[in-house]
Amino acid sequence: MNRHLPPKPPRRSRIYSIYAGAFVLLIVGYIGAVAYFAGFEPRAGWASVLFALLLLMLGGALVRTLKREAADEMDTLHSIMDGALSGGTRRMEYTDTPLSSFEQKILRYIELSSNQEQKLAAEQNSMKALISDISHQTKTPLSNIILYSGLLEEVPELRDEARQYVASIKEQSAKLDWLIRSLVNLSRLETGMIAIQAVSAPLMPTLTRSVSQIYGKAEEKGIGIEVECLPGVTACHDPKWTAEALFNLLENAVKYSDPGGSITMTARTGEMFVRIDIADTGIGIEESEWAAVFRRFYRSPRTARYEGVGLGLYVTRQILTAQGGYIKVSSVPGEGSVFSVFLPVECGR
Amino acid sequence: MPILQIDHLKKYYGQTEPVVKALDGISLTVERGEFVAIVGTSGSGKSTLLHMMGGLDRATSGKVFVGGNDIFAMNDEALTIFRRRSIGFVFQHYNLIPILNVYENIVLPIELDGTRVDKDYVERIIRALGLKDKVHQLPSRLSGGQQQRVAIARALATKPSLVLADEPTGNLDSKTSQEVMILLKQVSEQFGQTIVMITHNEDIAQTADRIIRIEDGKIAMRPETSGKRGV
Repeated sequence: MNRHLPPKPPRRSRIYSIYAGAFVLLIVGYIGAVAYFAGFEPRAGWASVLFALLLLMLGGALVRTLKREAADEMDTLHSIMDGALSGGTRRMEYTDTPLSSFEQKILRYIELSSNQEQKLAAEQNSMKALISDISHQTKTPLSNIILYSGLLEEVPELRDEARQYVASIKEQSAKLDWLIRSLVNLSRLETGMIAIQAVSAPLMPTLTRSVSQIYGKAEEKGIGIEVECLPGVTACHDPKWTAEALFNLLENAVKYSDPGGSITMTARTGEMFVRIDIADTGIGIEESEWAAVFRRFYRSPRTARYEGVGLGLYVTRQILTAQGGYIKVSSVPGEGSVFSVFLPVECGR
Repeated sequence: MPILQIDHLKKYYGQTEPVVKALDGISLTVERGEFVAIVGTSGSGKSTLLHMMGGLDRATSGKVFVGGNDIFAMNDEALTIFRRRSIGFVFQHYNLIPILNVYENIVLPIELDGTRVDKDYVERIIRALGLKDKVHQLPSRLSGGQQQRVAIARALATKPSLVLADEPTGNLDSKTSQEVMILLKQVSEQFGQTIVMITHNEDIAQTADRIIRIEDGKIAMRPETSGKRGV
């Protein structure tokens, strides 16, 4: 599969020592010969010693320069490969050197191998664009259906039977409307049309904002919501979108709890993350589904009698990961679930 | 090609009966970029398995391929060099050098290999792990969680094919453990790093994309909601 080059260094270092030996022998021999012909004249002897020393120094300097040059080349090679490993960025100027053409080849190779990935990504994007188009195009007709069914309901001479039909039409279109609005939101999030701006901000207002949106629904069902958060707690987050994410979690908590239940929201600061726990007394989630509930369009078989399309938790996770956060769930079926949201304490990671 | 492939791996201790079977025919593959947790009680063989993956120990029979290289076919010297370049280790006890500061600890494996430090990359890792304002401190002045983050940064700095983590949260309280796991998960995604972690803690393992359970040296068959978690 892969052909290995034979290891070379040991043999080469032997060649180097043969070179050095020959070099020294040559000098000594030459000086000996000169001394012999000059009749062992002391002055000529000193000159020879000086000559030999200078020659050796010159040789040493040459070897060092060559070594340094080789080391520099290796450095450049490493740098080229580092650039290649981190996604094909060019580290060298274009020059007429073997190294430069080597870099060209490496980058070309990376280009080729990333082509396939790009194709996949393009396909995915066109799918997302399709979803986005469909959702946008269906929005207007749907609002019209909602509008006209409202008008139809107000017609006084309608029979009871017909009135029931109209009520069903209204209910189903409201459902469809919710689904399409989430899809639009989602496609905007995924295509980066909505930029999430995470800033270091106090957490309490964000929590309050999410709770205030669900308070009415919770009260209707007789579910109490308790919030525990020290006033000084800050986290790196986008207040608007984080409130939206927390609202999705609270909405689920209310939806899957029986009347008279309770929800607690607790925020605690850790070393790296602020952890917000949302604990409910709802139906709970089987362990085998803990990961699955965050998937797009996943719905637990146990939630068939509840309304929903399986997008809420997916959107929530998208929002949180976009700002360097994380979400997980743990639960005891029949007793309740705890969704834990982690937001970075500091920005700039 | 999977980044890690293990074929019928066996490790027996002792020549005569009773032979202790630490690993008894384990086969598994890990794909590039996956974050896999191997869970088992103590004595289940999970540590032995991790040592085999890292070439720290040789098997009785079976093969381990890391990035297509049969690591048991290498001689000791080649294996040492291969390990230094291709495998990053994160240990329970961090194993940081106390007299070197955080930055020096992180780049140590690169310098041991005699190659140049890719400063951009190392800086990105340091930022991702929230160690930016700690780089000049000595490990002894850091909390356990911070020390383990330094160890993770060190494991990633050489751009290894595979990071092996041996009970990385074994010395940390549950709150810090959770944070370290989230960071491990995030760097795995951000840098496309393949991570194999062993732990006895089911709760910690939940963060991984896939959980493999080991019992008595074998992979325990349990219908797992597999596939990449949270995609």
